[in-house]
Amino acid sequence: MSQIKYFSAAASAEFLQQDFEQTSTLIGDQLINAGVIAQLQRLPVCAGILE
Amino acid sequence: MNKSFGFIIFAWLIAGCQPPEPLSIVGNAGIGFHPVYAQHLVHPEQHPKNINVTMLVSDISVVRMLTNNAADVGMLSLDNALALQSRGGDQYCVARVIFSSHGADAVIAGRSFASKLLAGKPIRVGMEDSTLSRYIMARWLQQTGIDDSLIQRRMLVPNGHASALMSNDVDVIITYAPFTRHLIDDGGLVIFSSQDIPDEIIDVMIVRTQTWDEHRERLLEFATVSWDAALANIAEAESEVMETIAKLSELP
Repeated sequence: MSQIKYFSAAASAEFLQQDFEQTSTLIGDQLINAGVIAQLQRLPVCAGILE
Repeated sequence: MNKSFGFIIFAWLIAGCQPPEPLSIVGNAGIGFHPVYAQHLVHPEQHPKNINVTMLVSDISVVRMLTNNAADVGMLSLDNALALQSRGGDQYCVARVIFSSHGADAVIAGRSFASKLLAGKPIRVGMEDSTLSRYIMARWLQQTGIDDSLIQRRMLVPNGHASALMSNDVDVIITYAPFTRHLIDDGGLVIFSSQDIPDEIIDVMIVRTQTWDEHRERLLEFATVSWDAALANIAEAESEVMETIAKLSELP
């Protein structure tokens, strides 16, 4: 468990609001470079999560 | 008039007693999801009604259950989730960031690795046939400068990783906790891990968008209240939840 950093619901919402897009883009670029996907399709935050 | 009114009341009561439509939530055997698996076994009352949580043996199984519509919700790494979304088909949304991995995902070398690397010989890498394994492989090769042409991929399910390395069928294994522990206990050496790529291995809960729209209340409760309760459960060291997690982690 020491190798895991958990997010509370509040921390998750904060991450989804502030860092998720940038992180997704970074990972998506790596997946494209590795030939896993041809093009990244955005993964939206579920409606109501950030309200 | 009274009969009609009575029938309406009866129908309303019956409808109110109907259990909500079952929802299936799946994740792999990674240690990060164990709190919610243990919670489902020990404290099912902490989950919304008619939610089934299932631990599957591999990422491939999780993706397959989602794409076959056998599951509504997946707990998986963000790279897996993005690859699934980018393939087209059903659309998903992200409901929660569950955890980030700081060493739980690793590349582990057996005794034959170093000599093969020094000699420039092919390196046999055992890995699950998943986006996460490919992602970690790509980042390991990038950061170490090992030539991709030296890599021979061997696709193995996670519970076959330890035996493959110990019997020298492969030189390196890409896997995740708790499977990493068996390998390390048997003399495997961690040569790369998610600690080397901070904030890149993040696990999330994704939901088919249509399912979210239809069952938002229960799924929102699971993503927020239930998961927070699962994390509170593991704060108690001497608890039935922790005993259950210990048993789950012993799975081969």
